[in-house]
Amino acid sequence: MGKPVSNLVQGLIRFTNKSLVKNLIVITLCVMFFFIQLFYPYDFYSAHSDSNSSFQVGIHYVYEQDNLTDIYGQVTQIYDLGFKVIRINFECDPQYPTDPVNQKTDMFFEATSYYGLAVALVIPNDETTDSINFYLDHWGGNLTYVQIMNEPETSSSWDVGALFTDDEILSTFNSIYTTVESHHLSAELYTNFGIGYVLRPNIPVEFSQKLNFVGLDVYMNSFLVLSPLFIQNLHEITHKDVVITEFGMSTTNSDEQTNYIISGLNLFKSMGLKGCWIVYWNSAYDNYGIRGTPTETAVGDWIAKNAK
Amino acid sequence: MQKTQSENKVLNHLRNMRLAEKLLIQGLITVIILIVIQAWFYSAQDSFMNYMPPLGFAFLLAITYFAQPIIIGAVNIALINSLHKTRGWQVGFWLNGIFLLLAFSTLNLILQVTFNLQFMPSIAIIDLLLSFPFGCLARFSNGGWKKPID
Repeated sequence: MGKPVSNLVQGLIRFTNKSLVKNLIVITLCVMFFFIQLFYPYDFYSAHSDSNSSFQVGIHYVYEQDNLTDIYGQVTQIYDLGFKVIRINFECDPQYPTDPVNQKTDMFFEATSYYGLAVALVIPNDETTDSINFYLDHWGGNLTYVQIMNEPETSSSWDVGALFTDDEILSTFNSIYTTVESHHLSAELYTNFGIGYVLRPNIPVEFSQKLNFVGLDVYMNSFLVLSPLFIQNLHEITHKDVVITEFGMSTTNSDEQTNYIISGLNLFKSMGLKGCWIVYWNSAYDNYGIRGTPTETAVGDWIAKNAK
Repeated sequence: MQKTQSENKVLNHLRNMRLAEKLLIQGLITVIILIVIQAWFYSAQDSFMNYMPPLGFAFLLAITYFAQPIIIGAVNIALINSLHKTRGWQVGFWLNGIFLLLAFSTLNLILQVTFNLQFMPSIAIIDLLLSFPFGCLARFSNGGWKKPID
């Protein structure tokens, strides 16, 4: 019994000791290691839940698309579902203080103040200093988070305001940062990055020196699967906590959207992240909005069970 | 002349050790090199990324996935040839190095994710404790010939 086994082992050693075979084995193992590195973090975190960690679920509310009279009720509905943060666009008209958009913003902050909801304001890349000053003078005290620029590493077009060079990005960031800082708000500052930051990692590295935390935007299933690697890398290079600041799916298939969002919430919570903000509550021009869909109910149920 | 003789003595002593001891030494040296390079990357990556972007990032990638594997592969075959009195190699330097680097980084990633450990010092200590199996892997991943080759 011992000799056949010994012969088999000797034969196997002789076989694998051939240069061609050894090269093939090494290449195969390299491919295997590569795939383990790619998929193991997602598989692990998806299979394990961290019930002890506190987790903050937020949502982006495009209140400017709703009627003035509906805004308070919508905030109430968002609060009742258990969301802790509402992220909003930069909506104001400095020229006409009584403009409907300013009234909507007033109404929105009246509701969030009443319910004690945290608000994250997105300051776009091309916003003027005057507008920022007007906004922060009027509503700055209601803000919990201020986002300085939106996915600045993305160079999307040749339009006015599109950003291409690092110098332009950094000087715009510094200009907005200085303006926001001059208001001495208690709000935490952050910037969100898309997956494309991996090609321009110097931008989050430089920005993060002035930020309280950094955001990562996750879209599409493939990037959800790879997100643990991106989150870990972004945390390593910036030395700041990472919050998922945009997470959603534009689809007419409600089941698909629900599965995607719930699996993401489970993943990010088990990774011990501080929070995840869903896009969007409502969206008139695409299918991201979860309002009035089965996803809204599913997310509400998930928050009730999982988010403290 | 004296130096050559003492070098030969050390080599002969290493070659006369048991196979398990040779594998342990090979694993230990390889793991120490990998830990030192990894620790250096952690401390230097910010400087790389901020150096004339995106050149610094390109240099970082080139060093990580081109220079580092070649160094590790060359060290591995040098160790094999020294310890086992062989010549030449079966697997190229870069392929051998990237294999060892991937094995090392995969192990570290699994430890980091599963047990929520930091690289320094926890994972580095575990890596050192796993020197022997890593030596077996390093020895398996390449080899030379007993006969001299031209």
